[in-house]
Amino acid sequence: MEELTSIEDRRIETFLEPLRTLTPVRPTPPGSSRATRLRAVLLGGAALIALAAGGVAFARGAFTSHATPDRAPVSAGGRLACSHLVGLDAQRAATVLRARGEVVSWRLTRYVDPAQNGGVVGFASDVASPPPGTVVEDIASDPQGLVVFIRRSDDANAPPVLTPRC
Amino acid sequence: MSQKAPVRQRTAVTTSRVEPAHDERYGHALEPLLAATEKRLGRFLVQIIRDRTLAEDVIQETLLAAFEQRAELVHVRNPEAWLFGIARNRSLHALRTGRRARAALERLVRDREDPPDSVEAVAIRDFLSRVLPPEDRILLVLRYVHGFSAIDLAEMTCRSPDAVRQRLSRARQRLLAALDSDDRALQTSLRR
Repeated sequence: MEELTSIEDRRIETFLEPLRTLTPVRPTPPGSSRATRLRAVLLGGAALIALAAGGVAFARGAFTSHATPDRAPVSAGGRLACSHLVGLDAQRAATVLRARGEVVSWRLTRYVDPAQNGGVVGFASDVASPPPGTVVEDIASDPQGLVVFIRRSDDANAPPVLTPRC
Repeated sequence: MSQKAPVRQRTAVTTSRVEPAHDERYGHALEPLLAATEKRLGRFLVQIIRDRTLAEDVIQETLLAAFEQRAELVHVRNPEAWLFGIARNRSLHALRTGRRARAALERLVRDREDPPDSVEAVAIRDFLSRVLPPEDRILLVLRYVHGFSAIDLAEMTCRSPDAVRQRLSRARQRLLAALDSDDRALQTSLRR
């Protein structure tokens, strides 16, 4: 260490002397490292954002469903409005939709007697393509494309098919 | 007809060199140095960084960097100055890159209180950070509190000893001017 000679040096040394009493920091133990603490903060923040987004999504869904109760593609204003698909033979509907370039998944509903099945009205299953003898009873849309609900035309337990709205 | 082979997920191939966790040659030099200096180093960091969380962060980084650079130890003239030089550089980087806001955020989830330090020491540290830029503040603390020579400081800062002396002189004048100004302001307010 060099010799401190000047008065200025001594004055500064005296002024800074109390700094020697500050409590030193130590390396943090593994469990309480900055990364761990930061991760806790970020996870908390992400959870809050997810909750907020969920709330907004729920509110939007609720308000939308109240404002526009029927958003099926075949409803008035829907992209399949007046296409007369509902009630159409499902295999013909498949041809029409394929020609329009729609991405379609098919749900076949088999209706049952609710009185004998504990109130259950039917069972739906995914099918790759509409089997013969089925008709379209409803269409909905999801992010991947259209979901077309079909049923056997001779299903005795099925309710009447809704008429087209045009 | 050729049959297509199934597509498999590619496995990343790393070519990084694997070093032994404990290097016999340098580890022996580093361990006693850290044991002897850790407390002083921790004190140095709270002397120049007001935020304790950030200071903890910096000491962690300093020790890690020292371990990574331990091979340099065989060439250094003053091992303590070498270690403090790493801490100085990490501190400057932390103070300049706006990590204070992040440290403040981390403080929100801290589960302990800061130790009670003397009001005078805290006031001096705050005064220094008010009147001097980080580089000058660090230089003065290293010189006048930790007693490093101009040659040590020159090695830490990659400057010539003369350049360090000039910078020290300017920092000293600036601090003394601020102290005198503070004294005058105090005396004026006492006279009223």
